[in-house]
Amino acid sequence: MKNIGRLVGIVSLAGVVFVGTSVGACGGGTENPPATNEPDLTGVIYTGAATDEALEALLLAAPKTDAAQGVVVDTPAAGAALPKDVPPTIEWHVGGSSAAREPSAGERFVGAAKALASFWGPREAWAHGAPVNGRAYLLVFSTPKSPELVRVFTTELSYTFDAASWTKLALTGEPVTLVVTNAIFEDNRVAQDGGPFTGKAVTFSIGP
Amino acid sequence: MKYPLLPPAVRGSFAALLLLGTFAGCGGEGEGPPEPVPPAPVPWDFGLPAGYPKPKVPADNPMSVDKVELGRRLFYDKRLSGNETQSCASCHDQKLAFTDGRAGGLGSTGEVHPRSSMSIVNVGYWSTLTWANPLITELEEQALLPLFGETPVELGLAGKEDVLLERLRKEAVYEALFPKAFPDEAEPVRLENVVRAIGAFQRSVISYRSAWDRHNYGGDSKALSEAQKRGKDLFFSEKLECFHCHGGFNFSDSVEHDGTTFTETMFHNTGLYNLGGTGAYPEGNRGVYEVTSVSTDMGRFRAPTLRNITLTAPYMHDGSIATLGEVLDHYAAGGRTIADGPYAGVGSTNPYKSELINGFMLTEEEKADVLAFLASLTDEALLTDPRFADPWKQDSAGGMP
Repeated sequence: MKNIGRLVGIVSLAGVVFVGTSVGACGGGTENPPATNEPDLTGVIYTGAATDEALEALLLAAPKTDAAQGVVVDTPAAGAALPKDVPPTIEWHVGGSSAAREPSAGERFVGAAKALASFWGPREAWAHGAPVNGRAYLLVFSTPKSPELVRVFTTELSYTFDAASWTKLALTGEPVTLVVTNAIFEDNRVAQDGGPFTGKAVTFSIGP
Repeated sequence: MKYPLLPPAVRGSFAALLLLGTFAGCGGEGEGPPEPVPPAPVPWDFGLPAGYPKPKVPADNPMSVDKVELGRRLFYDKRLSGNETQSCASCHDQKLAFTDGRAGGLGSTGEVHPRSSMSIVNVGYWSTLTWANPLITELEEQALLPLFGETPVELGLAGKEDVLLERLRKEAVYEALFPKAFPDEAEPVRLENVVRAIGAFQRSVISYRSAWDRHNYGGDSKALSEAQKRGKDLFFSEKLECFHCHGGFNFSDSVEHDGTTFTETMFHNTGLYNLGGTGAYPEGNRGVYEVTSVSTDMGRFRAPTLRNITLTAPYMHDGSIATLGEVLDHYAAGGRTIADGPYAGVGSTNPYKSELINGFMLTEEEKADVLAFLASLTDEALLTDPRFADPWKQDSAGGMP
């Protein structure tokens, strides 16, 4: 019993530490509203090596039109109906690169593992490490009544929803439209001829 | 192509050449019929993908198709060594990402250079050239070192400048190419133009087609393996700290390009040596210290690009580490310990060591992942790109494919 009590204590302490560090890292809820000349980054989920400096640069830059540089969403397909209870993995590629393809068995396994890991929740702040060099992608999920309901900024070419964010979308009961905007960065700044490039919108539904 | 210092004699010669070049350019005001206006040079197209920086090109040496071609011819021409046994390519082999696989470069007269031949890939982005000389910033200036340097002799042309020019004037290819590359000059076969053309060719050699580039710049979701992706995350982590010195598009610091507004020049002591616990590096290979004589510059060398790093063994400025795995071990230990011999010392306690070299722990699997990631930086297309290949061999084979 003593051991069980110690275990419960450790788990409780870990939970407190986790919540404490998460709140400390996020900080978005208690921050002052951004100044009017700065883009609103509140609630953005960062993954990979994405940074808020790079996102700010992307949002401040004038969009460019270049179909070859725009993102093509591989999954979900337009018009797909996704299950409510399984946070999906979104995958994409840049139009001028490789064509869409079926994921390998190994990749499906990694995707499933990511989905499992997603229950730990989103990371809503990025400890500033390496600046972004290369492409980064802003995924904006909107519904007719709730524009920009979920925003994700990542340097990866896939994103697996965390349970909370997916539930937020699912609860709307509305079709979801995804638009991916990407830019090429050099040390967190949008590079010359580096966009941002806006991809084609994809609309899907979330099943009951 | 590297020297601890640009010798004053070479600097003086270069200044004189520049001056002569200026006067030569002013001539030709004769009374005969007006010369036909040469066609405007065709600008060089780097062919880079969107968002990839372009090298900074000196205003007095603009890139053109003909100039790059002339530079490529000269780069691969053994007439550019005193005894006609070596060309620039002898130490900068395309299939080894323009290195030579040796610990120390081997000169045309058999002298061995204390430092390894640096890759010329992406050299057009470097803010300073050679391993450890903050004073050499232009490729046109740097090219004089291997051509005319004597400590050690590389191409061995010191005192043979006229011989070289005479050799070049006899070559029909050059007779046609020099005027095209320098159309405004009446006598274009000059040393100043030789190094300008070589510099233009070197700027054209850019690596941008590796698996990493296809993933990171091209947005190709299948370019990297899962191991490479895991290695990428480790490489860019604060745990390993690699990216601080080997970051950015070129996986190195001390770079600039045509959009750069601020140039940062960095050199690093990585704890490779610590002779007798004094912090000293071996005589003749002491880094920036040899230029400045400032003690804190002991053992400071540039962080070379990691692009194509799997091809450029042996590693470090003196080629003293044979494999990439051993390089990782060196950094994991926070410096190299040499137990005995003339270079004995504990590098991790070198007082001049970079504060970023603190050591780290990697499992064997993690180490394999980092090595897999480094392999993703290999640009296979560059290694066989006909634009950078030996044109004299291409001539024998019927021209550029």
